[in-house]
Amino acid sequence: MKVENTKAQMRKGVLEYCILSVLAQGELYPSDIIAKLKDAKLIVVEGTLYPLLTRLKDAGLLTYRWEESRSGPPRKYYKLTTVGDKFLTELDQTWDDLSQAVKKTTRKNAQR
Amino acid sequence: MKKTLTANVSGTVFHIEEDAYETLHRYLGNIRNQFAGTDGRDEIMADIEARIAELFTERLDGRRQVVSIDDVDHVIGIMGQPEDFSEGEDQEGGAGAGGVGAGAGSDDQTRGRKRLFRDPDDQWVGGVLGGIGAYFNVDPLILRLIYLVFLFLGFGFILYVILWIVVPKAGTAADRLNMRGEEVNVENIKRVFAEGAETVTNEAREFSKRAAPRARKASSDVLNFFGEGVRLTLVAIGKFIGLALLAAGAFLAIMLIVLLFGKFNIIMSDNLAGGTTLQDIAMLMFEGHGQANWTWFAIIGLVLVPIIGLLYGGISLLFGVKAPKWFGWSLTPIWVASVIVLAITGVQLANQFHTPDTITERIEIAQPAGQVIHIASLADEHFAGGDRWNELEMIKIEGDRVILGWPTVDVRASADSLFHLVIARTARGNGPKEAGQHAAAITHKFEQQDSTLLFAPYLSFPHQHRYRAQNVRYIVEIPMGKAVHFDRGSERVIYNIQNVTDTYDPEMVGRTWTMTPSGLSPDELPARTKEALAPPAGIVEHENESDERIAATVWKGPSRRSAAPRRTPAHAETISYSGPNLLQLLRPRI
Repeated sequence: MKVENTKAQMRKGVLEYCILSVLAQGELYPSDIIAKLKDAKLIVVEGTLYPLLTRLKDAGLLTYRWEESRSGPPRKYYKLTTVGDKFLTELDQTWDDLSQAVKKTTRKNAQR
Repeated sequence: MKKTLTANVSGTVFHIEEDAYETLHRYLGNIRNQFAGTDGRDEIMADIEARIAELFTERLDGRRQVVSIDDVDHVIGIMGQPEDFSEGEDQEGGAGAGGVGAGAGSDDQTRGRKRLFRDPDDQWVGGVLGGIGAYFNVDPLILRLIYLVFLFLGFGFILYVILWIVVPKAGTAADRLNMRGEEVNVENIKRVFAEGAETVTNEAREFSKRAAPRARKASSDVLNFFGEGVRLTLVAIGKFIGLALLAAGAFLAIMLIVLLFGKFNIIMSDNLAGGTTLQDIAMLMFEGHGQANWTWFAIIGLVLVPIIGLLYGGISLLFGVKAPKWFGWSLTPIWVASVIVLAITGVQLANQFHTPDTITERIEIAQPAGQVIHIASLADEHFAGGDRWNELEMIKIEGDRVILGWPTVDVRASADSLFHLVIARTARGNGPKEAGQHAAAITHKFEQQDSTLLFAPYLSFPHQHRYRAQNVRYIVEIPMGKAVHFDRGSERVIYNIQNVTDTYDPEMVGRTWTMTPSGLSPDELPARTKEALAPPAGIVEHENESDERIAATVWKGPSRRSAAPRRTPAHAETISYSGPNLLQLLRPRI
């Protein structure tokens, strides 16, 4: 068992949650999302984001519209759908529970 | 100065340097492969390309006009390597196994079409069998063992040399992947590198060059679905023809080798006189080794070139490999040269046979006491057991003498009242002088014991004279009213003796024949002669009966007679069918 695999598995779920959270604050285009995620050091390379966005969109959680850009090709602006909103609320709850659980267990371990 | 290309990235036009373009193209191709089998791949690609276009625009910032390799490297640094993308994906095994995952879900556009190569990593001689092993996914060791059998059969060597020439060496990593039928992508090429099998430079670059036309081809294939079906059918037919050509070539090669080196001379004769080979006999024809060798090589070239052509055609159809151009160019001149050499030696040889000469001696023999002279054969010291009618079996080389078992004995009417013996020694040469020398050098043997003439069934001449149609003919002259008796064993020497009953030589033996003005006449007429002389009508009649039956049903004629005239083709067939029998009956008389 490789630590990279485990890390990737952990990050995978969290990444989707974070993208949805970021988009909950408003309409954004991929570069903005990337900037935020990069700030938080959640992703290293931009290429990771595009397949995720497409998948979330195909799942009906996201939608997008085209907007002309002054400096290049037209941009896709993503936002949450109502389904995505509900999905995010559920994830928020789950995340709270999980982080509580993780905190509890890891602290216990630390005390030993 | 650098060459630039124009690239359309997501609707924006960029001037891009050639090396930068190749790197970018390869990069995008890898991403495509990474998402092979993923829904929405095109959309992901479009998004990524849009982002790349954006990054380029940002980087050029209106001040520069050309995208350089640095820009591309920078953008790739931002976007990340394709195998890292899978981090957020559902792929099995996650990031660590990205390369393998991509290989399994391979894409039609880049999946390696399996091709036959020589394997330089697994070679004993030329890597041919290693390559074939990779092609059919069989352990080359097994193939090598099978090949050894072919080698002993003879044509394995020729086949190997042709394959060696025709099949290209898997010199590059891409070739090596094609050889194993693996997908040609950057990951696999890297892997081949890692296997330590590789010292090729710019491999990925070459791959990207080739990938572009292949992608175009693939898309048109999808459009021509039925065209593809037709193509596959044609390919199958082609492979079948290839197999047939290969089989024909192999068969001819075996025949050639058996003919050249075989101890069992299945073509010409199966029973040459002891110790004498076909080569020895062939050498008898030529003046010297030079001439013989020229002819030898010319014949081999003449026969081998078409065989190689057949084998090559078969291999190229079966495995889709092409020989280098010099291969075809060199075969044709070799063949033409062979024809020319053969023509020259042929003319030379014909010259050696140009003039005939005959030395005739009339020998006064002791007249027999009675009315009858006996003709018999001396013991056959050289060719006992050989077939007299197969000339090749009647040739033997002993030291510096050549021995032929061809002397013949004939009988004709004497001009006076005495028995005579005439001996005619014949030979040929390039002129009267040489022909005379050849004829004079022939030695032969006959004896007289009381009233019996015994002839040796062989003659000999010096080896240095070569074979120049030397022969000896004995003619026994019988006076009118006197008789000749052919003793048992004389059938070995008597040849085509004319008689009033048209009896064959072997049938004349053991009987007494009297010379009459119309020819030799038997003293008593045995019943057997008539039988043997009767035409093979019985067979024909029999066949006719069965023909009539068939004809009657086919033609529905009112009677057998009306059907008869239409039987002509079947009739002709019947005669040709009984041909061998007729020939066999006639043969001893020729």
